[in-house]
Amino acid sequence: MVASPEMSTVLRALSNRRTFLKAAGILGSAAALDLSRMSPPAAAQEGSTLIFLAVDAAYSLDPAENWDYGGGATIISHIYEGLFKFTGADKVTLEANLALEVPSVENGGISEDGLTYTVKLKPNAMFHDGTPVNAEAVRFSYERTRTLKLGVDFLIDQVDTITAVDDTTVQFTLKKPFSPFLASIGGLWGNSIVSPETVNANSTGDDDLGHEYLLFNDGGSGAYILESYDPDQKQAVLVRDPNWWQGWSDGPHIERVVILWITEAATIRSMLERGDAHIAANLTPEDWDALSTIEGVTTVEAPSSLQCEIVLNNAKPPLDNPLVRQALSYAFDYDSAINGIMGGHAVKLDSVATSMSLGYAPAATQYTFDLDKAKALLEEAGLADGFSMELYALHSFLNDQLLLEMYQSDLAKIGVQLDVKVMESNAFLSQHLSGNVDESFMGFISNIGPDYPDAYEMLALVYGENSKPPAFCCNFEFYTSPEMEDILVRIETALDPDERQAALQEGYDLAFADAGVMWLFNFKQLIGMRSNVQGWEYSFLLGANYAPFEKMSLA
Amino acid sequence: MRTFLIRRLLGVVIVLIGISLLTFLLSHVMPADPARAALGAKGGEQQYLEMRERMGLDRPLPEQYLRYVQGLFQGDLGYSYTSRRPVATDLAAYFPASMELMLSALFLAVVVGVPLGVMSAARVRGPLDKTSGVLAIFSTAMPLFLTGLLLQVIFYKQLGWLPAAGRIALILGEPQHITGMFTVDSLLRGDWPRFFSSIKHLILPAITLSLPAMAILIRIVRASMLEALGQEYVRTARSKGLSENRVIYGHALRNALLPTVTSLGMLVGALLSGGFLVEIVYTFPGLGMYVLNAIMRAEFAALISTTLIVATVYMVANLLVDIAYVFIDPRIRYA
Repeated sequence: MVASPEMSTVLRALSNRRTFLKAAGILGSAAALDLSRMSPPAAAQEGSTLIFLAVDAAYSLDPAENWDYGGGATIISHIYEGLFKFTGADKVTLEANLALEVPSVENGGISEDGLTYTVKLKPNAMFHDGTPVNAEAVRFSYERTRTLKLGVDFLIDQVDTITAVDDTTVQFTLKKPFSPFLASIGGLWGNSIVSPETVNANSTGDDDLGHEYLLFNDGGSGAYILESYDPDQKQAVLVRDPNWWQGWSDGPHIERVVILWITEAATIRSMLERGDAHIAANLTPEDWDALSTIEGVTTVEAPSSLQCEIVLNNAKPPLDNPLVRQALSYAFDYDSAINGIMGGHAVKLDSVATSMSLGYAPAATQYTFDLDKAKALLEEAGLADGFSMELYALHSFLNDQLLLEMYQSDLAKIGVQLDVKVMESNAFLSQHLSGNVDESFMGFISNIGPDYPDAYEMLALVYGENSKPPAFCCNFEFYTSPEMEDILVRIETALDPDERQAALQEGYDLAFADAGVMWLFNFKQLIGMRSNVQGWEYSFLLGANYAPFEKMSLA
Repeated sequence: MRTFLIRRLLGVVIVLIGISLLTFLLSHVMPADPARAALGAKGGEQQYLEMRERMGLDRPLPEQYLRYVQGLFQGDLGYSYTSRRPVATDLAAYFPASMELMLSALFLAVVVGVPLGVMSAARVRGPLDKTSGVLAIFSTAMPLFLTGLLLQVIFYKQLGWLPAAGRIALILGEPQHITGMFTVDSLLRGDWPRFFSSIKHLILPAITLSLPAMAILIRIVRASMLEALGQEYVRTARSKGLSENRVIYGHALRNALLPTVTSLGMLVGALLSGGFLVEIVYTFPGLGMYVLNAIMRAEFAALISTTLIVATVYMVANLLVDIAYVFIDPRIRYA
């Protein structure tokens, strides 16, 4: 047999064990030498560079499209600004940002009929490209979002016209009174003001409106400028804008922010432990507990706007009977779920929205774990012998399955046979949202959060007639109630705050009494950071993926 | 040989058409709705219908497939609504990373596995044979993600020698693009900081991925060598007074190479797809991370294209193996 010349050379090299081992030794030494010359992996050692580990990659950096709590929120909230912003960790407050003040009836910003909102702008705001943030830019940004129709435009559905009255005055005219309007334009999504100059200079046509450009580039006025965004390498870099129109306080600042999307929980923990990262958003409970004991690491637990619910299909017997849904609500062991499965990192929900939301109040009816009451309600519903049902857990969340399995054993005690199934979320929703009740499922466990922190939105999204399938969100339970529709209209049109709050309370009470869905708890976010991080604040609306870099420094 | 090559290449095309059809049908059997996924968390019914139309999902299935195949021939692999660019651009970004990882792992597996297999066979039940046997069992039994995590804990967390994630140091950025393989590109340009950084980022993922392949090679080479060493010609060579090294490396190994080379062809496919898991553990931005996102968002075009790429690499590797037979064993002739 004859081997090729190349092969022969290789074989000859391998044919002498001593030569082979010598070569291996040389290679090994060389590798060791090279390694010793390499820079340490800790890129976080630089004094003014902050390494931020976000959970999810940015879906889109175009504010007319972005809708994620992950990397998009981390980046967009710093390179763009809106007219208003929500602040506060325990209770949210709407503050003026590009606007001079928050409009009200008292200061003449809101008309008596609730149809016109006049917003005065701060006169000195500038985009990164050097052009002014004026009323025309505000009008342009909202019109751009409406024209592109990339999803977030529904948040300004209620707006009829937007007018740039003069350089620093913009006016929104609504189609009908809509009391949560300011809240709806105070959130991050769909409300960032983009530079018309940048958009027009980089637009490929009327259909594009700079969309392709803004997917990866910056067109804002925020405290930081997007230096690079590399979805391939799962990283983005922000640099401080020294000329930021809002100005900088004296003292050290974060000059650069490196945002990384790391998928593996163990890697995230290790990076934080070694000081290769400064902040890690959304740690697992196990990692959070472990990091709590590590010197040099600070762990924080903060309430999130994400709520866990069990959706019961109100259109399918026997779940169409409110008594049955109430019975099921009493059969869930809330305390064990929160303290056991969730490791204490959750808070029981006593209303449709979390206690941090605007307009929050607890509902009149509260469900606690009471199997006797559940059994009695089933008997009253004519189901003393129980019944069978299927509930789905979606693949995205491991705990969901555990929660349903715990529920399964409690339900068995009142004669309800629960079959727990697991399905890929996309496949599940595709079928459930077809709009055909016959094709829909009996129920599932899900997580849902608001777009803006006004309790009205959760009420409208989860119980509103317009939110029923085939609408994508979020009346998954096919809840139907003319009474609730009337309440929602009254909340929307109420000009008097007390009247509005009374209508909201009616909504909470009706929702809980009907038990259309079972509200379980809202999650706490588990955040870890190096102890040298100064000035960090939590944002209830934006969650762990946000940190106010402009207020922060590294000690 | 030419006829053989033409026949094999035609075979490759037919298999690829079959795979594309199968993957296409399978992905459309899934109840997942790409239009819903692309719209994200919200989006009204009208937007949903518009998205279905834009994606061509409102057309009959055979038409969708034909349009996809037609696009393939024009280099259009579809559009990714996650990355916001053509799938071909995505693959151009991620495929070189996966290839780099796969080739590094294959290199390690061969460089360590083949000599260990040979030496194990040369000293059966000797210390090296026993050690390599244990190594082989350990490497095959350990799930890739566990090996990855273990190596991360030792070499990143405890010793701090090697990075735990990414392809290159952040402060350096990517090397100038030639092949997309960072080690190759930086080497070709003599960009030593980037070369060492990319090597450093590659070491742990490559070792993790190579271990099972190394174990397989050790066992195959050892078995083939033992069989070869029992043959008449080996006895003849020994009786002629040839040195043991000459007998082992000059005669037995050449004959033992055939099954080894065959297994290399198989390993290429296994390493490429097995690398997906390793990429996720090490946040190594290759096809693995891409496919994971594609599955989560029901991105059929990305899924089918990745499957086709893996299948193509696998078939090309096996074609090369068949060609290599001719050089290894002159008795083999293709007509």
